[in-house]
Amino acid sequence: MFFPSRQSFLRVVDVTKRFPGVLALDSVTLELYLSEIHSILGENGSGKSTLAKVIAGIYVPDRGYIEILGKPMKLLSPVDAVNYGIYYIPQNPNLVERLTVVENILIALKSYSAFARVSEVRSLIVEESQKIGSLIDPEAEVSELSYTQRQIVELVKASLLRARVLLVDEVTTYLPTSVREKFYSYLRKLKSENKIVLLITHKVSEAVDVADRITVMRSGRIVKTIEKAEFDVDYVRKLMFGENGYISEPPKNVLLKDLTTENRRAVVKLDRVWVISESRGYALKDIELSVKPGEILGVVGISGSGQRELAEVLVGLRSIRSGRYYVDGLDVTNRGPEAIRAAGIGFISETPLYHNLSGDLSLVENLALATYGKLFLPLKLLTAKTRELMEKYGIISTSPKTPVKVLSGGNIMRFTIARELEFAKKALIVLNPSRSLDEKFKWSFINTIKNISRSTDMSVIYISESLDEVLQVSDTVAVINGGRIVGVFSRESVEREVLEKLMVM
Amino acid sequence: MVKVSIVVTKRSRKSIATSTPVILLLSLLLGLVASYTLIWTFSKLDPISFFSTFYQTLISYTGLLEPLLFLTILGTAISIAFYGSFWNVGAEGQYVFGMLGAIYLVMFSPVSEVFLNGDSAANGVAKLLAVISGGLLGLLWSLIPGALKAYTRVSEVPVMLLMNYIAYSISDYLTAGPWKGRYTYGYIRTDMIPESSRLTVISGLEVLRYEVVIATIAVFAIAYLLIEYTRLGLEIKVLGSNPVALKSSGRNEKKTIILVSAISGFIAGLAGALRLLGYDYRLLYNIGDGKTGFYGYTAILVAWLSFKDLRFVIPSAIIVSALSSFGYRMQMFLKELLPPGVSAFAFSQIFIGTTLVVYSLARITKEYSVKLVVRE
Repeated sequence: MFFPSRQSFLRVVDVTKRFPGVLALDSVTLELYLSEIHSILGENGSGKSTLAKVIAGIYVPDRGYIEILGKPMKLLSPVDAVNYGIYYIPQNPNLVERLTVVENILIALKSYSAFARVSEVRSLIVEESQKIGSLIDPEAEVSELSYTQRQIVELVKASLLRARVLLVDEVTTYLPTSVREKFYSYLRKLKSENKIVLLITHKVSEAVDVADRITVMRSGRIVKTIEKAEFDVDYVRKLMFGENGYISEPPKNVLLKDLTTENRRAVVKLDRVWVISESRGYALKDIELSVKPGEILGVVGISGSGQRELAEVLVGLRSIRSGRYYVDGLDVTNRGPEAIRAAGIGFISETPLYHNLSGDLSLVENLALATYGKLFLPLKLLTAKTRELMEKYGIISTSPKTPVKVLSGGNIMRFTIARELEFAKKALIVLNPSRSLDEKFKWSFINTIKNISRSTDMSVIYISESLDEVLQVSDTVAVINGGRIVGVFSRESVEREVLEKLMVM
Repeated sequence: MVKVSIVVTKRSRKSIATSTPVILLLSLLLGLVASYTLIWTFSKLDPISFFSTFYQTLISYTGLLEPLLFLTILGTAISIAFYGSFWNVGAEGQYVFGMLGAIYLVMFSPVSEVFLNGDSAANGVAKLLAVISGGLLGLLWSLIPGALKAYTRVSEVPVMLLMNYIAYSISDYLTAGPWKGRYTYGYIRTDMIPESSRLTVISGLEVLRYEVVIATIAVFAIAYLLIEYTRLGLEIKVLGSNPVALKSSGRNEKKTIILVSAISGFIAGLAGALRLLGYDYRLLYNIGDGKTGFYGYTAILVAWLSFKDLRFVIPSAIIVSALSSFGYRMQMFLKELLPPGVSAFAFSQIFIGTTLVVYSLARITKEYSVKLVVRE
């Protein structure tokens, strides 16, 4: 039988998706051919996961549609997508810990109204897992499985659901190198079975090695789709980071700046801190960081490198397994947030409704939570102060008494920033603040931080996925990768490409 | 193929139609209609007797006043706990402990001397002490699940449900053992507390006691101040809505859990003490057999109806007392009309149950709009 060399199966047509404050996808059009491994490559926040989730029916696009075999389709849920043979494999496997592998798969099949016999499922698990090279016991409880094995269970699920389009979202991030190779050859096998693999990744090398075509995304747009013949690591990197981010040579050695020998005492200091991860192993490994009065330390890394955990440790929400944490020379290791907060350390989180605020309560009450009033709340003063902050930071809310959850994401972020800048006296921990901020406010926020730090000697730890922001704000830059600080540099002495290399290493 | 799907979206704007008082009244009306329909299918009771009895219940309000006051105090106790997501289903046990605290002070402690030969001023102080000791015992009883939750993350709900039975048993043990009365005509119960220790009957409104009325107003007012105007109140609300934010703003979550359990237990204990000094005058054996009136449980309903808004505790208490009182009145009619073997008491519970179900459903429409969408 003759197959045309390229048979289009699925097309993403002019898709736009907006989240509060962010344009995640901006008129994206993409065509997928049968029997290809297609890589979507981009930095964090470039929109690649959003695109995959639109294809998988998890997000419904604001504009545009998905076309399958030339027919426009409405994918309103993952169930719809599975009916068309599209299956999404998330970075963190979606399994019930307390059930066995077989039970998990049966649940999944049931929720997609597909049925299979238990014996069939059992033998398929054995068969598929052998193909990937890591035998899985179908009767094992998921909680006993390693991360790799869990991902294999997801692949078996996809196979049982007769998936023709597999969306693989950053799955290899946590896989050990040996397994990764087997995983790639499994993907190639799927390809030979006339299936489509969409490999979502931020690793240039992975895309170049495995894919047949690469689509590079930046800030919600497709930069270019390139064919295998054009693959060249430097060229692809250039597309991914833009002209400025072009890396010519990998750094020869990493200079670790010794902060302990400086004269002024550190305001915040982590001494060989190890922190357990929720899934497996350590989320933070042997972290050494310190920041002096008036210093802004930027900590940059690709999403999931341990930034969130680092912020939670610094605020006292997460316990330290080993190592010490000092604030102003005082040992606050595992003493909870009380002592840290009392020292005047503010916190601006990427998820303020989780970390900072109570959504059910008003702006006034949320301001009160962090600031004034020992026994009674000075409500008049607080209301006036809230109005003042609303004015100063351009927070749009019908009244200071409005519940915070009604506000838009950007306004909630602005309010959090306003409150914490009001509160923080000694140091400020900032975690990915720009996710829900618009471009203009983001830079003015960064300037504000710089000014405050200069004029009041406040220290700042600015943890971010955005290298641009970190380079803009920091005096000192640390790179975090896989839960480790892999380099600390003074801002003046470091090249952008050195940092980039360390981030994706 | 035609697909029908239910689309639930969160409401972003408030409207009068979905405000708490409207939903409260609407569910009362719908609850009445629904329970009438249910009762009609079994008894063919005519609507006039049904609705006129309800009207009678409302206008002869004196019968409602006594449960109203106790349900307000207990409802306030539970409501405060709900603000902090401390699900106080143990108010019944704390109420019983309040009774124990009061009767101990009045009859078995050194203070009991005061009531036998003290002047009225000394009596007044001793009565106040008795009420407070009831509150303190309620507090202690509530502190157990509070501390367990704070320090070991054990859920307070099953602990408290079981502790209610333990409270009944402790009361029964005391009533039948060390505190057993001598002048009880052979019944197992304690002796009556001295006349001088009893609360003051309001002449003209014999169902009421001055002290209970004052205590209800005071408890409600202080609770309202606490929740709306104090830092502790704010922290309780944050504990209930986002404990992570409470911690990261440098507050002690454990301390707040313990405080909220203590406050709630103290108020429930006060109610028990007031009950004993104002109405019961003694402890009866088998107290778990309805001798508490199950106020501690009924008050959960009051708190639930006014969910996280203290201002609606009183209207909810009115509705619940009206419904239960209505239920008792209806038993008279129903006894005649029901087929043999069907309990009239069970039917009287239908009013409360149906209203609660309707209210719970109506609450969903307060936060969410529910639409049916048909597509091909």
